[in-house]
Amino acid sequence: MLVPVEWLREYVDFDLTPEELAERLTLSGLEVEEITEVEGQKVFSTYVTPNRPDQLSVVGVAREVSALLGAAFKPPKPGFSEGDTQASKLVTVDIESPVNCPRYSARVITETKVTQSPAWMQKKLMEAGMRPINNVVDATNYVLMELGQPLHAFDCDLVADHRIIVRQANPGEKITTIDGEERILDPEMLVIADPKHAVAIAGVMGGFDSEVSWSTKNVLLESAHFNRLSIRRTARALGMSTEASYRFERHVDPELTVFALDRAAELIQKTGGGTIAKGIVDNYPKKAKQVALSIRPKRASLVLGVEVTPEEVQDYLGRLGLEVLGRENGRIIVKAPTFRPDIEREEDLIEEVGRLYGYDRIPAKLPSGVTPQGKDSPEGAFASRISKILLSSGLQEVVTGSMTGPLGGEVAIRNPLSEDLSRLRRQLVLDLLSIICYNASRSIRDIGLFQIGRVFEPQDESIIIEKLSVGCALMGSIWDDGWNVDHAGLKSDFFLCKGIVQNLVDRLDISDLLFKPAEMETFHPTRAAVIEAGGDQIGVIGEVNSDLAEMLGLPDRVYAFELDFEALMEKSIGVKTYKPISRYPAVTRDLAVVVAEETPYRQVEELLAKGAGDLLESLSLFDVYAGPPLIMGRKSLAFSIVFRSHERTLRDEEVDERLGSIRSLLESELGATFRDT
Amino acid sequence: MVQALEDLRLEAEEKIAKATSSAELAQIETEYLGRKGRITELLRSIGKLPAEDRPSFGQKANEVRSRLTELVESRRGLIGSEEQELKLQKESLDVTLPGKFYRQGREHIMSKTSAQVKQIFIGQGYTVVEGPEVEEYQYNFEALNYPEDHPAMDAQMSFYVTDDLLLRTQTTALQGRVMEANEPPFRICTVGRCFRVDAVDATHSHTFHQVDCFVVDEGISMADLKGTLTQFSIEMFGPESKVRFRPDFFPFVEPGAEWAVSCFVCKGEGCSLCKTSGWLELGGAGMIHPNVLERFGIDSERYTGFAFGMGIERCAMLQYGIDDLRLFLENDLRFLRQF
Repeated sequence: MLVPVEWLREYVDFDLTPEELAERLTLSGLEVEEITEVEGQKVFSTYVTPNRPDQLSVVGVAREVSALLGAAFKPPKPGFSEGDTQASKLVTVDIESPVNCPRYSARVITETKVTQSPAWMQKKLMEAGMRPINNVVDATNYVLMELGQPLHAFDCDLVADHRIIVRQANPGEKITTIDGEERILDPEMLVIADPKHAVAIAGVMGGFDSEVSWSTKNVLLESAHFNRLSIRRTARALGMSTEASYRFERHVDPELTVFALDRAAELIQKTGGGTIAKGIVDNYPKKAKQVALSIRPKRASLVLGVEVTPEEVQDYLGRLGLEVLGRENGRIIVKAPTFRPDIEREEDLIEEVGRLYGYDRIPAKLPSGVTPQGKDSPEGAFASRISKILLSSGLQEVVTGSMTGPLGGEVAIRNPLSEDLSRLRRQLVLDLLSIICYNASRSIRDIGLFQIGRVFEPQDESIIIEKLSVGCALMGSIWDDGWNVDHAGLKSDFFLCKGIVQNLVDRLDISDLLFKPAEMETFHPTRAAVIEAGGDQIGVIGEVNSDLAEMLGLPDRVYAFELDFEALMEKSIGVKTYKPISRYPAVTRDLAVVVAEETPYRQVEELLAKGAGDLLESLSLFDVYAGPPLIMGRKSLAFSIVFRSHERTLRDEEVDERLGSIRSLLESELGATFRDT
Repeated sequence: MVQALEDLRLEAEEKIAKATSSAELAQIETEYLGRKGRITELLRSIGKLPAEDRPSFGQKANEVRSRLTELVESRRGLIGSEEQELKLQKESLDVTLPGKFYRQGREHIMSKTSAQVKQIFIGQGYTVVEGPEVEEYQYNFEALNYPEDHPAMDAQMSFYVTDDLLLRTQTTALQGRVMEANEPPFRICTVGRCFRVDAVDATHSHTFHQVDCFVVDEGISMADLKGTLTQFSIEMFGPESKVRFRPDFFPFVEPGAEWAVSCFVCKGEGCSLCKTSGWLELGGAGMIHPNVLERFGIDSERYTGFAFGMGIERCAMLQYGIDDLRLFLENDLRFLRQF
């Protein structure tokens, strides 16, 4: 809100400069975001927190200044003389929706002249950011800014039968508002109507047909209190936000209506003459209750962490306009004014005491007593483990958003910002591919990425399954740069991708890892596998499908995997036991096995291990070859096999015997032959 | 014969002294001292001497052999070190050429900052807890004391998935879940992703990350809150950090505050980072509203608590002088490789 400093001075005395006052207000909760100058006058631009609608007026700010500085508060005192005719003889008011309109007060001014408002009023309105219109409308706006009570002025002669009915709108009812727009209303909305039609959208905007014009003589002034939810929903449904609706949806003091009417009537009479009809038509069936509550200075001291005395407490609350009713059993009993809807219980009073005492005077200390053992969440700790392993595998960590386009997931957002942010992602790999594209188009083509993040899928209409996932994608050389480096020979491939998974799983102490060929949408049909551990699927791996790669614009082959975080975590809980190291020497033998090309490596490896039995320490594949002199359809797998015993030095004959078993197993099971190595 | 031996000695000595490489020296050694060498050759013809002269000639010849052997050895040592020096010279490297290293991964700056923040609070005795990104309306708003459809929610425009499910707008949503399942005392920290309907620019995003901490115990005060945040700021931003509170409004705390740390660049003097105010605003804080505690059956007379939050991106932006929020989710490797 814009608060002209000179206007503020009319209601409270202070010696501070505008800058000093702004600092004081900001540090006690009313933030002055900016000080601007309008024709030599300083104007505060304030941010009013949603709980303090009482600060949405110049007088409200003056009350705060007076409380902060302990200076006298001088609200305006309307003074005028009334005519002989009773206002209630001129207009009638019926409230048909008392829940949405607890109070409707009206005054009538007759035989006034609509004119331009005086320069001093125009100047103040402009400083406060409002455009002068005529003396009647300006008076209502002036009071709005001064006191925070939204008012509306009708041309009384344009209100049929001079009768106001406050009711819900009829289905499809139309009204043209003063901005010239036609609005279609529904029964959720409250209107001010005459017996024929709606003349205003209550608390939001007046109607075009009944607005005050240069020829208006008789003015009906409305000053009402509306239910905040009703106004908020109406304004939102119509896509409107006005000075009036902004205040009503926060709270306007129900006790303020008459005072504001008096002030506006005084200003209209002063500027345009005329007669103010006697009395007020005040429809206020159920008076708002003032809440009595209490505060214990001891409790305030405990919560604030600093000693405040009962005298201080009483002084601060009094300055804020709270009525102190008395003291009893260490409690100070007060009544909260109706302009402070935020004061409901003791803590609210404690905050007021803290604000006036000064938050800056609260000391800093640490909680006393025993400090418990702090720890990361199990997921957080496990994610750190995974992250460390993947970082040491040379992968860059990335973080992408949870929202994605229609292809990326099934869980839809009802009110998305855009089509490409309309779903919650189902997997991470697609995000990684996008990042590769993004960077490739910036000339970075050797990339290895991983991410640990949440993925989402619907269980049913109302339950969304949300789980953590680990994704990785590789493209180009595994070396970023380096001179005389054979980048072509160091390119990422399926087996590097697989090696990263194997290393990860091994270091997480998960065993029985298995890669089973599988066809999946994202991947190359013959270069993909599901990953299992202990018989359960824990993820997928493969080369990115060329159609997808083309659609995304990937400049090179990309390999990727995605693992189920929770499955990894569940399988990783085992405790590892140390394996003793043999004191005896090893015997190493090489063996090149020739089998049919379609025989999976895994079968050969299994038979080798079976044949070697308990003397096998390790076996490693060092060459895979197909081509002459081998006959078509055969391939050679060359192994280095290490034998070792924990009990003795092995004799050559023992090892030869095992090699013999291996050979005959491979011969009988796979029809293998052997090459000399 | 004796004269011949003497000549041979002189000749060999001269050759040894003139030898320049170990190969030449080896050749000389073989020529004079080898099994078929010239000394052995002379000794073979010892029979030509009279019997009485033979022992003295033999002795003499052995003396010459050992003298020459000594000379060869000492010459070899000399030549060896020269040759070694030459060899090392030839192997010299340009140590200013760039080093080579296989690619290293780096943590994303968000993870790095989150970990740093978490570590500080773990050190202060906090337990880290995870909460869902798709949250129930009741935990995100209702349990946090938001009045029905209040303007306080305007700053927290939400993405909805169903009538009751939304993408959490604040990690504070976890408080209800923790209070529901646990008895005080507790010290909880959560770091996570939040969402608000907000267009993306240098300082706004629909997706951001927040840390939220809260403590519930007997006798917890606002002074404890200030001390905790001061301790955090010292660890995060440096030993001279101070914390400032300013009254602010969040429905789930009362009294409520916005907290700021003294600018670590200008030490409060005023600079471009703190926009000349001397203070860097970091987040919201306050004493947990008794309505929140009571909703979960916690005796608000016996227990009090504090809560505070801050943005992870904001922390990182301040620490590294990053001026564009979009960099965090864009994943430009030229950016990520700086951390």
